[in-house]
Amino acid sequence: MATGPTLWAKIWSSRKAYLFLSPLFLGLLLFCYYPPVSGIYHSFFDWDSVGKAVFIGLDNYRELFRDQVFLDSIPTAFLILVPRLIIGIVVPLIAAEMIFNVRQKKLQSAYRVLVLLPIVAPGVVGLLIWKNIYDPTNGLLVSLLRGTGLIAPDRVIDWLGSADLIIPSIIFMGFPWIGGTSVLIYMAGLMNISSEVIESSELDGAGLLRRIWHIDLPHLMGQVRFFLIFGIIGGLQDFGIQIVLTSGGPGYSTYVPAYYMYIEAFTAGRMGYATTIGTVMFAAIFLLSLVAYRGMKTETN
Amino acid sequence: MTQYRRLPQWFLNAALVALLAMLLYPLGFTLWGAFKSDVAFTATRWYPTLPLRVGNVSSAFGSIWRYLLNTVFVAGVGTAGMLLIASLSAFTFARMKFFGKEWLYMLVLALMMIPGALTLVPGYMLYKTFGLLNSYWALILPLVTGGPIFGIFLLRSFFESIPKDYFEAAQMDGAHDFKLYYRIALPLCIPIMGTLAIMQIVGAWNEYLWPMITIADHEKLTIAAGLLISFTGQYSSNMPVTFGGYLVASVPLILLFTFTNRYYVQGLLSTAIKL
Repeated sequence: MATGPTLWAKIWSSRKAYLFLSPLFLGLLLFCYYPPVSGIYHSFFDWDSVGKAVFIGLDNYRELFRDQVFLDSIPTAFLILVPRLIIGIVVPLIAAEMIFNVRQKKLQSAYRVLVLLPIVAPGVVGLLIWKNIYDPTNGLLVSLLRGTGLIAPDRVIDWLGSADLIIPSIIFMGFPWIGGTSVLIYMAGLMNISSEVIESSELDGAGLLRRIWHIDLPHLMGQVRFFLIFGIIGGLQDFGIQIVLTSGGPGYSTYVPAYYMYIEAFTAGRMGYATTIGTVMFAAIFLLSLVAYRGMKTETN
Repeated sequence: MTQYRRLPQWFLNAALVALLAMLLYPLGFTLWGAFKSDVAFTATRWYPTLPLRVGNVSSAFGSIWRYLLNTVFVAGVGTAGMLLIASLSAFTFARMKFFGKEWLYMLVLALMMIPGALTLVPGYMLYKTFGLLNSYWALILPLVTGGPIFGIFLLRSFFESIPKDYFEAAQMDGAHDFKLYYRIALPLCIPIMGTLAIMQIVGAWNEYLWPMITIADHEKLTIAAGLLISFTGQYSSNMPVTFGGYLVASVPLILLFTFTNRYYVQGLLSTAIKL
């Protein structure tokens, strides 16, 4: 081939860059590229936890789409994901706007630090504290409701143990939902808007809400898109609440696909079936984030 | 009219203080919960009281110091390795011209889109095949191999924003590429590396799923998994000691945060994280 020598010459002349990148790609090849390929590959196998794999074609997929626990776990995942996603995008934005509009610089930077403070407690601790807040007999929520007379003084509410309350309880968890890192990412975006733009909008008589709607929001679309896409990717896979608080219960009411995958792999030892769930989730997450990305893109351009 | 255009500052401050109070209440709850006696906890758990029972904290410390030590070791080694690889790679992508650059960069970024759901089980089987389960390797290697991906994403745009003159002047003096990296690029990116380091350390601190799966020997568990295992079992009836455990588990992060929050805030505010 005519391009042969020049191609090799190009590669040879880039050898230094490749040398610098070699530690990265060695690790990536083995621990980041191989596992997803292996996952998709083994979704066609009966793979046990010892590592013995027997090819079974599409049997795992056939079983999965008749598996009622899996089918029911899909709507549950969205019931939890969608509200939490909206909350996770909107609430930090409101908080960022509030802090951004504080004029006293010292107060502003104090708020910025305080809003981050919750990261000092491990996430597990946060969940376990919510377990206390939701305690049916003397948790904070029940005590507050009793104290304000909204419920009878001897009333017991099992927030995490009743099938009707569990999903709202999970959504409410983390109130007031101000993620410090998200607030700062939004603030970085707000600070990038030139003050001339803001001042001239104010001279034109635009009020605060109009300014936020017409100037701030369009500037922050990149951040919103970031939170949306990584929120979908992360949210659909998250099963921390199930592991720490609910074990998927009551009944199967908090089973989400990711938790089901975990159970199938690490308590039932069905590695092949678990990778099938993982592969289906991958396809769904990929499509959803693509749709979200496209949808957001046309809106802003 | 003008006072209607902007929210009055007193209102803004009052609303923020109220929100922050709600946000920080669980932390306060942990703090005073850790210093109560069993009886006091039942009666007055929602607000602080005297006397302080320091004994809770020390008995909690006795049962989790091992997890803390493990976490410091794992997060420390893992983060150092991650920072080295991420900064060198980001520098290469930002500052060097080479064949296949954008293509290789996309290969790295594409990994941010690979969900953990797809890789959890095969990843576990891979570590099993290599005989790395139940060892510190199983905890450190994921930080060093997967950790740099986001770091490269963040640092590349940062390195690209450094004015060319900095590097050209040094090149005139005959500095080679590696020297440009560690003499110019590295010192400039220390604040943002601080941000990355904190993200990674906090991530390692919070990770419980992977350690619970890969580590059978409790002596090697990191803190989040250790807390889940020891405090949902042995101490679950003694709430003050449990909260003492939460508090002790948070102390190293509190220290880290106290000394580095400026870098973290600055780093986040100086980079545009968006899509």
